[in-house]
Amino acid sequence: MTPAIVPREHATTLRLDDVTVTVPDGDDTLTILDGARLDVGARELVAVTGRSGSGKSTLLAVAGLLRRPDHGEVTIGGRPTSQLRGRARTGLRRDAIALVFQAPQVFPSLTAVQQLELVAHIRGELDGRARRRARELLERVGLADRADTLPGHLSGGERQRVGIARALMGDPAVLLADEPTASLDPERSREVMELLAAETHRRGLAAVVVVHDPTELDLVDRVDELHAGSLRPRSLPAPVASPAAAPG
Amino acid sequence: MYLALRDLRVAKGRFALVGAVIALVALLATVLSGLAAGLVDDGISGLRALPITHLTFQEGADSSFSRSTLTPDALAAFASTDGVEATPVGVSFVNAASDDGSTVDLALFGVDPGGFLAAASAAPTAASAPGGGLDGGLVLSEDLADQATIGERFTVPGSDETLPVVGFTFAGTYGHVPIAYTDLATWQHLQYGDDARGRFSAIALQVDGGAGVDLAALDADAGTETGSKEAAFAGSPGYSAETATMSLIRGFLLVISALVVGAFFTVWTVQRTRQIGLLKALGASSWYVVRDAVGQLAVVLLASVLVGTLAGLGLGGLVGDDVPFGFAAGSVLASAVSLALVGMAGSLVALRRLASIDPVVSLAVEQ
Repeated sequence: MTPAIVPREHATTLRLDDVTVTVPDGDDTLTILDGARLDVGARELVAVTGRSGSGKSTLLAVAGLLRRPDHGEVTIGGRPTSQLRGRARTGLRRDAIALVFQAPQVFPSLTAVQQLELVAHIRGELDGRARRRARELLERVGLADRADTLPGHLSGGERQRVGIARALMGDPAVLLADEPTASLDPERSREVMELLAAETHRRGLAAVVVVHDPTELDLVDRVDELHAGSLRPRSLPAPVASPAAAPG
Repeated sequence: MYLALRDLRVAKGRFALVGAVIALVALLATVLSGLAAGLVDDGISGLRALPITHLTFQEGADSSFSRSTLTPDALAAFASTDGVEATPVGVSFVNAASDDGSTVDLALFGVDPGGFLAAASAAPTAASAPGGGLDGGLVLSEDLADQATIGERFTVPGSDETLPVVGFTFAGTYGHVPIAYTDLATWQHLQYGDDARGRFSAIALQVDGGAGVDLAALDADAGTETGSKEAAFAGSPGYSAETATMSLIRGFLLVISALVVGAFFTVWTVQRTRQIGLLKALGASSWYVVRDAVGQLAVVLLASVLVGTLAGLGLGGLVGDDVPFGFAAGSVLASAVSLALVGMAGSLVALRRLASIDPVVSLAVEQ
C-alpha cells in the first residue's frame, strides 16, 4: 500500500472550522450547518448525535470531502482542503478518508473479499499482498469464512462488517460512519460499534460516527451534539456497570 | 473492469436480454447486407465480369445502354488512340421463345467476334458445344442451363429470327436478367433490321492506366461520355433505387441500434446511480467509472454483434437460389463495425450521466 499522505502523529487529524452549508428551500435558503466546528485527533472516536434532519449526514459529507461547504475550512492532517480541486480532492479522499454508510452499501456482484479488493483496484494496487490483506481484514471483523460469499447471502450485520473492513482496506487516517447500526438489531449494533471503537484505537484513526442509539455512546471517547447547525459538547453517559462487577 | 466484469457475470439475465436485442439487430443488418449484395450483384454481375476498364456511351445517356446509340465513327476515334483497346457492344433486352413455346428473358449482348469481348463469351463451361462460336448463335448464361439445351432454338419476336443455343458460359446477369451473347451483326439485325448502319450501344474499353490517355478529349471529339466500369453500374435498371433503398434500411437499423443501446445503458446507469456514487465515494475518479462502464458496454456490444453477425451468415447460407444473396466480407465487416460504433455513440448520454454522478448520493444527505 502507498503510505497514507496524512501524518498520523498530527495532533488534530480532522478539523472542521466555521463550516456553513445552506441549501435552496423554495424561494428561501435553509441553513443546515451554521459555523460548525469539530476537532478529532488520532485514536479518537467522536460520536455526533442530533435529531433527524439536523444535518448529521451533511456534516459527514463535508468532512468526507463529498460536499463543499459554502463557507469555512476542512483540514485533513493539517492540510486545508478548500482550495483543492478535481483530482487532488478525489485523491485525498481516496488515500486518507474512509466511509461507513447508514445502510450497508455493498456491490451486489462482488463477494465479501472482492468488496475489499475493489478498494485496492481503484488505487491501482491490487496484487497478491492486497489480496492477503483483504482476507486478513475480513478475518479481523469475524468474516473469514464468508469471504467468498455474495452480499445477497450475508446478513445485514455481516454486510455492515464487510463495509467496515472495506473502509479499513485503504489504511485511512479518517474514518466517518453514518449511523452504521441504524439497520441492525441491538446485539449486532453493539458488535459493530465495538469493532469501530477497537479499530479506531488500534489503527490510530480519527473517527466520527453518527449515533442514533444512546446506549452505544459508552463506547466512544467524546460526544458532540448537532443542534441548530452547530456542534456542542455533550457529556458522556455514565458507564454501564457490568453484571459481574455489580455488588452481590 | 474489476466491477464491470463481475457485474456481467452476476447480472447475466439482464445483459443477455439486451445482448439478444443487439444480436438480432446485427443479424438483421447482416442478412440485409447479404440481400443488398446479392441484389446488386444480380443487377450488374455480368457487367462486372467483363474484362474492361471503361465504357463509353452516347453523350447524355447516363451510363444507360438503352439510351445510348453510337456509330463506327465514334469507335474509330477510340480504337485509333494509343493505350486504348476498343470494341463495340450492343445491349438490349429481349424475350425469346423456345421451340416448345416456353419463353425466357435475356439481356442480349452483341459483341464483335474479333474484339476482346468475344473472349468473355468464348469461355464456355463444360456443358458448351465443342468449338461453339457466336456466329448466328447464342451463348447463354449458365443460370439458364436448366431452361435450355445446346442446339435448342430460340425465336426473338419482332424480327422472328431464330437463333440456336451454341453454349453456356458464366455470363452473369444485367438488370436482373440473364445475359446471352451473340455476335454484333446478329444483334444489329435483331435491333435495327436491315438498316443497322453499323450502330451499337456502347464502346467497351481497356485503357492502359500508364499511357496518359485523355479520355475527356476523346469524348469531346466523338460526342460521347466515358466512365469507369463501376460508374456504369449506376446505369443498370433499378440499380440506384435498389442500393438507395438498402442503404436507407441499413441506416434505420443503425439508428435503432443506437437507440436500443443508448436506452438500455441510460436505464442501467440510472439504476446504478447509488452504486456509482459509492464507487466514487471510495475514491474512484470519474475516468475510472467511465472506463469501467465503457469496458462493460464494449464487451456486451462486441459479443452481441459477433453472435448476431455469425447467425446472419449462417442464415444466409440456408437461403435458397431463388433469393439473390451474396456476402462481401468488407460489407459485412463494415456493417458489424458500424453497429458497434453506433452502439457506443448511443451510450454517450449514459456515459455523460455516469461522469456527473455526485458521490454524495452514497450518503443519505439532506438536499
